[in-house]
Amino acid sequence: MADALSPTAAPKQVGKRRALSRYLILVLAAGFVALLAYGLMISGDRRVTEGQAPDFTLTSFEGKTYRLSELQGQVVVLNFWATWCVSCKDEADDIERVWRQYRDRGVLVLGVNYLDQEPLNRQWIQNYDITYPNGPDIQGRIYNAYGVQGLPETFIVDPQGQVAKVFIGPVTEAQLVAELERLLRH
Amino acid sequence: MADLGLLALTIALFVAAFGIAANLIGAWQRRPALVVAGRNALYVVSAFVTFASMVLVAALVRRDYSLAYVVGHVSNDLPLFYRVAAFWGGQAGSLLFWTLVLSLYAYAATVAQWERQPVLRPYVTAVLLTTQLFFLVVLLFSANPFARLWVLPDGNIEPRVVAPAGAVAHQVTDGSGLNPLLQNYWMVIHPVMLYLGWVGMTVPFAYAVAALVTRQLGNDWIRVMRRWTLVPWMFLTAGILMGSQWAYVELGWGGYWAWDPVENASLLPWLTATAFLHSIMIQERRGMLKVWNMVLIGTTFGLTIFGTFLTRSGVIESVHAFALSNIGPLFLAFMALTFFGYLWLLLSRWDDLRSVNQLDSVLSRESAFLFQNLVFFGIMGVTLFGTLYPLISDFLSRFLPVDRMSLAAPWFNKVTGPLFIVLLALMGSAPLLAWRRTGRAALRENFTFPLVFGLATALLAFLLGVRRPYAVLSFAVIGFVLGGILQEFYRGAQARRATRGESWPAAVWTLLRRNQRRYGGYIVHLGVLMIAVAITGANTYQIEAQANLAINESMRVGNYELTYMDLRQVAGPTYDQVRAVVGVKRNGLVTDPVMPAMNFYRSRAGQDQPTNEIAIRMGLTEDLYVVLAGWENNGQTASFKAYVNPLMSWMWIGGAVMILGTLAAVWPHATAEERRRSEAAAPAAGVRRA
Repeated sequence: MADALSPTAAPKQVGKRRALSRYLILVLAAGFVALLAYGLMISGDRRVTEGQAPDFTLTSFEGKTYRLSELQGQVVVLNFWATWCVSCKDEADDIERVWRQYRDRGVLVLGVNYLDQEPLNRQWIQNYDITYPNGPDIQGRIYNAYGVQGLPETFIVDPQGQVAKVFIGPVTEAQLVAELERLLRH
Repeated sequence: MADLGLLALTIALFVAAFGIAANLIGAWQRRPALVVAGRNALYVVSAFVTFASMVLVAALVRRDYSLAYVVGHVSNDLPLFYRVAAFWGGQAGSLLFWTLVLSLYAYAATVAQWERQPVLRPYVTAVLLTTQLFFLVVLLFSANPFARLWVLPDGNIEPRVVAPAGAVAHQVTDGSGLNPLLQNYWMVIHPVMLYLGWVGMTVPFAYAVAALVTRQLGNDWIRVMRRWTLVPWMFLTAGILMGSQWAYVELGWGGYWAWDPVENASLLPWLTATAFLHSIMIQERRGMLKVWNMVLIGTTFGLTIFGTFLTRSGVIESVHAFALSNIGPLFLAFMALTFFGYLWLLLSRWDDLRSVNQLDSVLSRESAFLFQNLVFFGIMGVTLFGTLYPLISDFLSRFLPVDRMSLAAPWFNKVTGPLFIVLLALMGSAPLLAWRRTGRAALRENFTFPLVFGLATALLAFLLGVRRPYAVLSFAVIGFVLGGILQEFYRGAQARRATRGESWPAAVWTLLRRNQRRYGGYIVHLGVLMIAVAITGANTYQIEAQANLAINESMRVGNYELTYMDLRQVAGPTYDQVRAVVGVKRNGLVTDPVMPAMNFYRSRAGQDQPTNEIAIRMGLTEDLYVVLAGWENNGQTASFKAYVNPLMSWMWIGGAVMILGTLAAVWPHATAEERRRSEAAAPAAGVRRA
């Protein structure tokens, strides 16, 4: 077809050009496959599972402001929840128990209430007798910063501000205790 | 019971491997009995895959929670319709569904084509079986829909096919339900359409490979393949449009196409398949563009596999990323194998693919088609580049001062927009150009009316207030193409009226019936024009507004005044709905209120997420589109996003017209036999064209 467009080209030149274009096609094809292989190697979800925990500000229902970067030196347990999330009910009591157990040992539990309704969320906090600070995640900023993909998810940030552990789905007291003990021992 | 499904897939795997060997050995050693055995292997594989699919569907319908896939995609309160749809709602299930569709196509193509193409058939069957084998390997070793949940000794729960040592079966009484985003009518049939489209491209690909291997590169196979490409193409077209419709009514950003990787994955093979469908006409008629056709069909197949890879491997981040898993390496290996294998075949047969004829003139139908191939391929190339740009930039950022970034919709619109307009102009010009070369008189005769019509359309648009150059140009081209199509119908019908004295409607109808391919094609083009009208309107004249409103406060968007009236909570079958009531005034006149809402799906285990229920009031000139973005203080205030999307409905109407046109083009010729008989009876009128 290239020949059809340039019928005057000398046969030898055409042969050379064709060989060249064959190599070019092969190189392009190899590059394409290599690129996809590279993509596979670096792929993963956007959930922040390690490294520096993204900074955020959370204003609790009581009006107190918490800023992660000002909480260094403490272990921060960041729990994402909502009243419409059924499995959040399973973990509510466990998290509260852990908070009561560890609040004096340099652990802060923060409840991030994602896309929810007042007063349902305040009623929830009363029903489960939750005493750790909770606040609304306005426009889902914290949710997005941490790459959360559904509720519930719980992030543990170590005293240096690094993400130490992520729990996807409801978390149990035993799981939290094991992780906190590990972090506090250091 | 579910173990029977596993058994069926395992048997299918071995039979497929046997079938490939039987076909290849049978072809090499010229032993027809082996080839027949190979064909029967394909029937057996297809039957077992169908059986395994039925087992999975039965498990989903009966809520057999012993299977991990059922637990993950069904729940006690999920209605029957969605329990069936859960078959293709998750990764393992959708791969089995893919294999099922492939098996049905493979069976149909083998049965229909067995008597023809005796030289090609062992290779065709081998390629079909190889693709089946690949998917069976993925299903059995990487994404098995028949895996069960086990409690391991350390307390972790894992899905495994074979019970791990010391593990106990995990007892579940309720599943976690179907992804709420998928609980939508469009979303249920959209993937089915896409799969029917994607998978169907395997058949023409298998024929292309067989033609290359046997060097039987004549036009016989390509004539048959037109129909086997047109049917999946129609499904792909429908699938893409349904996906747009889903994005439009469900995702809530006022648009229908975001150039998201997953959307691009469906568009890429459509572009090359569309080019192929046009390009094969040139090979049929003039024996030209053979290399192009081989490249286009190979690329189309490669892109369908690439699309699955993209959507299922998590290589590129997407708003649609429903599933991540380890099937990536397997897909990559298969892609690389087909890619290089096909490329080698193509390069080694290059000389056999040389054209019999040469281009005589730039002003010919052939060159218009060559040009359209280039433009289609160009659009495909830039879309692929844009889709992979996050990877490319990530890679380059290691050596060069480049930021890792994704290319967003504006980039795609800017780059592909002009190419699509050129394509539209070609779509209008090609049918007006003669084969080989177009003389000056014919040029004047064919182009005058469409050009005048195009200019008149642009002028009309301008007078109606369209001022942006891009939109005016787009309307001019749309008018030009429309003028050309009208002229074709007019001339054809006029000729019938003159010779047979038929009435206008009768003349148009017989025209369509007598030359389904040609006039069906024009109807498809009309549908494309309607979609072009919608894209031009919605992309250049969308109006957007957002506001946080207290009760009885209002906002304006275009000619509409929206008033926040109330917020209510309503219980649905599987969800709770928070619904806002918004009063609507258009040009000061009160119309019915709209009710944008948010659904909160109830599910027992796993994670929950809300979905938008957008209020859309559709109209032929514009859509009003209202999204409930959030609320505070128990509904004392609420935030809304509202859009006015001009001409949007034409996208869906145009889509329906495209499907109708395709059906008209592929519908079996009921009158073909009669026509042949009547032509034979009247030899005077039987001046046959070559």
